[in-house]
Amino acid sequence: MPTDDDADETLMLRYRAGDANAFTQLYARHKGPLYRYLLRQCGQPAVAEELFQDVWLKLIAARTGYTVQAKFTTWLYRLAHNRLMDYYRASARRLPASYAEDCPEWAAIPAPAEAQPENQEDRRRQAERLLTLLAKLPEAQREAFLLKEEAGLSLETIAQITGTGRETVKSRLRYALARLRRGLGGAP
Amino acid sequence: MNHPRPGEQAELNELHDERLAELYRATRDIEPPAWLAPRILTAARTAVEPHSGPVVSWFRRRGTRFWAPPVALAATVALAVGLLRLLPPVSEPGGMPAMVEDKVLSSMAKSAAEQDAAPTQSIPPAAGAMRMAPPAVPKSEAPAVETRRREPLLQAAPPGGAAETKVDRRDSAQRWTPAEWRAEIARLRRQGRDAEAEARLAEFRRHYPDEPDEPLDDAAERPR
Repeated sequence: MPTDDDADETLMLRYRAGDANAFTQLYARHKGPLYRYLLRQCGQPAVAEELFQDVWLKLIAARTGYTVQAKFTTWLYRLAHNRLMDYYRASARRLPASYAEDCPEWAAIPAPAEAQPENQEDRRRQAERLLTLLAKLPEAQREAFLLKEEAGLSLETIAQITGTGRETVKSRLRYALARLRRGLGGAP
Repeated sequence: MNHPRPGEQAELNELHDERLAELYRATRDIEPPAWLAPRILTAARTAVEPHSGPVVSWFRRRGTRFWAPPVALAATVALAVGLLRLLPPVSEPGGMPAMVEDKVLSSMAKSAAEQDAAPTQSIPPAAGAMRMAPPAVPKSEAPAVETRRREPLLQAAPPGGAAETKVDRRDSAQRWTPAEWRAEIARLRRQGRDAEAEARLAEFRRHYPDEPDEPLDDAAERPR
């Protein structure tokens, strides 16, 4: 559990004041979740690397304007989300429809499966299956799932980052869970 | 890192599937490539270092071009010198070059001398030599002051040559007052050197176009 001295916000303020080591700590703490979020959203390692680098460079450039108005992760993933939207708009696919439309089909959510994988090999196969199912989710639902699982963000924060309402985030998340459970063979 | 409020916790629990979360955690072994870290960390360190940035930015720091003032000054000086060199010398009174003016005066004096040669039987000296002679009448106070003013300039000038003599001669003639011109013209007429007097008169008209052509006393003294 980070103390006040090494909280994300404190580190960012120290970096803004010129402490480069504070940035190193921030980078080490957030590089993995941020990279996986970007990689699973765009699906291409080369693009993910470029986006990842852009996000950090944007953060470096915007350091002087940083104030503790929200959590550092909210700011970081807001930068990442915006960069991702720019990427979608610039690519041939354009902005995914899932960001513009809400999905009403989350009513039938399968119940969580009780049975646990029997061994390590079975668990590995299930994890790979989960990644495949995740890749097939609409971008907006997948983003909600990743922000919750990778960055541990609340519904409210996810709504702030993605620029949507809290209820929209809830519906996206429930829809994502339903798809994943169904794909993994959970009971309806 | 991020703690949901108690009211949200129930909703999150509703939307949380521990089996899915555990499976997903098993996939979180992917990290960004190692080569990205030094690049990003170097950029972060460089950004907060004092005087960071490439060397070339010294020239364009904050949009200021430090080379602009000296270059502008040099260009202004070069332009001013070029314009000064194109202008005619200050000693040229009417814009007529000195050589051309001398030729005109000589030809005028020559033609006038041919006309006057028969009645007077005297051979006038050349106009150029005439102009070398000082005026017979004493100079007034104003030319004396002018001469004193010119002394430092003459002393500062390089040692003499043909050009210096010519300029000095021309300057002395140009700085005569109308009274001196009239006295000189009258003196020439008294001596019967009408051709030279005519040449002087022509020169006098050129220098003082608004002055009367001939003084009354000189006209009275002119030999008939």
